[in-house]
Amino acid sequence: MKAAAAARIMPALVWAAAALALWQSGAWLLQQRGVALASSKLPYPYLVAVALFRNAGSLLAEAAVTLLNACEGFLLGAAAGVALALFMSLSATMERIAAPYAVASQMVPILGLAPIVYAIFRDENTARVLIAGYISFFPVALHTLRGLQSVRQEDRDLLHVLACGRAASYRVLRLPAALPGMFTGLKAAAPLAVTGAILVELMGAQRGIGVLMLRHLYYGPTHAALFWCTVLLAAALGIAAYGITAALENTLLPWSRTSGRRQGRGLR
Amino acid sequence: MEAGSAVAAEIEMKGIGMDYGGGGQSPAVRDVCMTVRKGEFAALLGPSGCGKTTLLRMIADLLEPTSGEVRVSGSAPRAARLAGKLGMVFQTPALFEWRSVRANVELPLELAGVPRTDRRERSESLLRLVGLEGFGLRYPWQLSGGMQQRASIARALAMKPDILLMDEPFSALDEFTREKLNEELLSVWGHTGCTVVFVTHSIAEAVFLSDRVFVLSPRPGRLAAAVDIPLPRPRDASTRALPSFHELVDGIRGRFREASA
Repeated sequence: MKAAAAARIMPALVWAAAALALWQSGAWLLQQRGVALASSKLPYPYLVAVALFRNAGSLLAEAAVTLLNACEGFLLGAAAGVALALFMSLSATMERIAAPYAVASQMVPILGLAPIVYAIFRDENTARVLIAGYISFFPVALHTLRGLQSVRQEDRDLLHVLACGRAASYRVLRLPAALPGMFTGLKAAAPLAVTGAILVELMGAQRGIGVLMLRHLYYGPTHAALFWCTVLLAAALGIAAYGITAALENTLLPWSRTSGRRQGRGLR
Repeated sequence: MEAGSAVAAEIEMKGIGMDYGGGGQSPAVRDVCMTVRKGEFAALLGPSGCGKTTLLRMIADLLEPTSGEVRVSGSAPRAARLAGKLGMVFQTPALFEWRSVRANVELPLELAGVPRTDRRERSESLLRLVGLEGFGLRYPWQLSGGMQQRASIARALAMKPDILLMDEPFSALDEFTREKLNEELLSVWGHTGCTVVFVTHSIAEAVFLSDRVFVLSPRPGRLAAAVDIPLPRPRDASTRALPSFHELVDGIRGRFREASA
C-alpha cells in the first residue's frame, strides 16, 4: 500500500521539481543576459515563495472570498445543469427545444457578460456567483444528458420484462447510470467556476484574488513577486476545485469506471 | 406442479412472421409454429441471423410479430409479463454496476415492493443456489464473466417466474466455463421446475440441456425440425460421453446441412 501511494505521488513530485528547475533557470538566464526589468518578467521562485509566505494572510483571505463565491456559483450551475439534462432526457422534443439555446448560451463571451451582470445587480458577490454558475452549467448539463442517454439496451429490456414503470426506471437505472457522466461534467465545471469568479473580479470588484492580481499587475515591477503569488494561488484554487470534486466521486461512486478506486483497487 | 400439467402448453406460436424492413422482401422469420410444454427445457437453435433471438423477444413482449400469434400461459405475452411470469437472462449479464451483486439479485423484488427482510432472505438463498454464496456484497466488476452470468440467472429467478427466457447467456464465455455453467443450470432448473426457452447457436449445448431442440433454418428463419432429446436426467459431465449424445448432435448437424443445401 505504501509503495502504491508513493507510485501515485511520484509523477506529481517529478513534474513539480522539473517546473521549478525550469523556472529557476529561466529566471537566471533572463538576469544573466541583462534583459531590462528581468525580475518583473520572471522573478526567481524563492522571491515568490518569500512573498507568498509574508502575505499569506491577505492572500488567503482574498482567495477564500473568490472560492466561496465560486463554490456557490458552481452548486447553482450544477443544479441548473442537472435539471436541464433531466428535462432534455424526457423526450427528443424537449431536447430539441432546449439544446440549441444551451449551446447558444456558451457563445456569449463571458468577458462581455460579466459587466452586464454586474451593472444589473450592482453587487460583486451576486455577479461572481452568477457568472461562476453560468460557466458551470453547460458541461454539467451536457455530460449528465449523455449519461442519462447512455443506458444499455439490455438494461432497458430487463426493466421492461420486470414491468418497471417510467418513474421507477429513472430511479433504479437512468439516474444512477448518469452519475459518472454527471461527475465528468462536474470535474470540468469546477475549475471553470473558479475562472469565472476571477474574471468578474478582473472586471471590477473590491474583494477576491482577481482584485489582488490586477492591483499587483498595475503596481509594476516592485510587485512582480506578489503578482506571481496571485497567479499561482488562482491556479491552486482551480486544481483544488477539481481535486475535491474527483475525491467526492471516488467516495460516492466507488463502482464507477471513471473513479480512481475502480482502476487502482481491483480485488482480483 | 400438479400432475398431468407436464403436457399442457406453456408457450404457443402460430404462424409467426417478422419483417423488420417492411414490404415482405426479406423477412427475418417466416411462418414459425411451435409449442413449448409446461416445465419443459426447450432450445431454439440456429446460426446467427436465423431469428431465434427475435422469437425469444416476442415471448418476452419486447417485440411484436408482424404476423401470427404468440400465447404465453394462455394469454398475450404482455399479460404474462405484467403478471411477473417471465424471467430473462441476456447475452450480457446486464447487471447494474452501481449495485452490489446482492442488490442486483434483489432488484425484481424491490420493484415488486417485497419488504427488505424477505428480499434479503430470498437473495441469500438464490445466491446459494447459483454458487455465489459470500459474493453478495461484491460489485459486478469484481466478478468473473461466468460469475456475473450466474448472478444474472439468480436475478431472473428472483420472482419465481413460470418461464425463464435465456438469450445465448453463455456465448461470451470460454468453453470450459460454459460447460460447467450448463451443468449448474440444469441443477438450478431442477430446483425451480420452471419452463425454459434457451437460445443458442451451439448444437452440443442445446442437446445437453434440452428436452426438445427447435432447429431453425437460416434467413428467413423457419422451423426446420423439432428434435426430442431423450437423454436420461439428471445429466452431468458424463452425459457428453454417451454415444446417444453424439448421435443426436450429428443428427442435428445433418439437418442444418440439408437446410442450407
